[in-house]
Amino acid sequence: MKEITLNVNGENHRLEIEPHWTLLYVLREKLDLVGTKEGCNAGDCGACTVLIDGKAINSCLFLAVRSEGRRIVTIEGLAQNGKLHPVQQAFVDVGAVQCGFCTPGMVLRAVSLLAENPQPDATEIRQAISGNLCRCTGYVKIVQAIELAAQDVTTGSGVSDE
Amino acid sequence: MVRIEYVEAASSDEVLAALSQWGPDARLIAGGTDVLMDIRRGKYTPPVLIGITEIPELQGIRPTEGGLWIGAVTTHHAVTMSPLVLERYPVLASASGKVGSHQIRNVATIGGNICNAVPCADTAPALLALDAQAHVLGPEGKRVLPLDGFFAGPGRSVLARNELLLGFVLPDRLAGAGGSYHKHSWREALDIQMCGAAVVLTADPGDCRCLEARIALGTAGPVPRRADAAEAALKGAVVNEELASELGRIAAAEARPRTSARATEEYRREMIEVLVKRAILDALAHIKGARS
Repeated sequence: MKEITLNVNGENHRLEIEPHWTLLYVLREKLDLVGTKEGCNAGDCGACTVLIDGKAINSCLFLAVRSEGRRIVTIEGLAQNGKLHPVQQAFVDVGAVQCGFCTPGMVLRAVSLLAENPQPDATEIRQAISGNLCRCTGYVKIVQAIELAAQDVTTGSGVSDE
Repeated sequence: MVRIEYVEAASSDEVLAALSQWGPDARLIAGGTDVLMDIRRGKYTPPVLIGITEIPELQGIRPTEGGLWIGAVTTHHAVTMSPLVLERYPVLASASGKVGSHQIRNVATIGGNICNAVPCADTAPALLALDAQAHVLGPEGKRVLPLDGFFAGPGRSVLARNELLLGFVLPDRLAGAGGSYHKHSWREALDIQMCGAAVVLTADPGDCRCLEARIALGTAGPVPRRADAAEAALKGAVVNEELASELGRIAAAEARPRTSARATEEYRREMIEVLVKRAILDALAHIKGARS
């Protein structure tokens, strides 16, 4: 076992881990942050997407040991003081959630997209989420939700997380 | 997954020391998107993974003697966003941008893509067409070898188990040359290529006579390879649509694709013809665009 400190959603966690454990495994099984989903476990579906230093990555293909000293944000860390993040609120308002399994990864990818490109067009949104598979919605509502969130960002209600 | 140790190397010397300490079954890990999948699928179980992404010597994109240095652990995302790459070698930015998904490109590295040495590596045709030189460090010291010749077979490179790829140098000579990479896959995103073609060419801006040409193919044989016959026919010729069609046919004839679950040999050959033609015409448009 190896002792590491992980900064997840602004909180430091001291953990004993095996060096080959993935970040996904540690988040779900050791920190009980089960909002991050295990879909394909092969980097194809994006359900396990989290942010590391603001960048979206597949946590199923990332070793926990390499996450030390970085800022990890999971879906549980987006809402602040009981208020949903603008991207989460947009998904609710538009009705972009069906079974919900892809939603955490989809929302986090959208948050990172809007940080890089605050006003993406529909094509850019579709390209951006091409690493996140959804088998329910047909993506139409998801794209609409991200467009709505982008409007919120430009009108100042703000995506604060980079 | 059985127990595997992890060592984070701080320098290339530490990598060599760890490789010597742990022996030939040790594995280097950069982005890890291929390595972790290989372990999960039981392809190998190394006693240790040696992390190399924190080594400054392997990082970064910067001008160097004779060309542009691209460190082995540079992520595909960093390659696609680099103003230096976009300005001088846009064909490479295009190829890196076609690897996996955004999430994969944020961690997967250009050195990993090449060392993994699969025939379908998206950056391989672009780097071959750009005459990339691989800088390698081993116990005997540094050596520089052309990427053409780096691949030894499917999943195998000429790197010894105790060697480390430091990065690539792209020659100044080809900075700003016309270039294009085309990839054919079932889906437009997050898919492995059925085949791919990269073209880099310089031409007289007046009569479009080709001065220097590189055509490289992906998934057109056991390793990514140059299309020698098509290159020879292109050099010195006036580039136009008729020639591009002919070069597509030549490249398809010299390609050695195979039938796999992804596509048949015959289909791949037909697509190589199409991709080479398109890539040449794009590269030509690039040259004409730069002139106007």
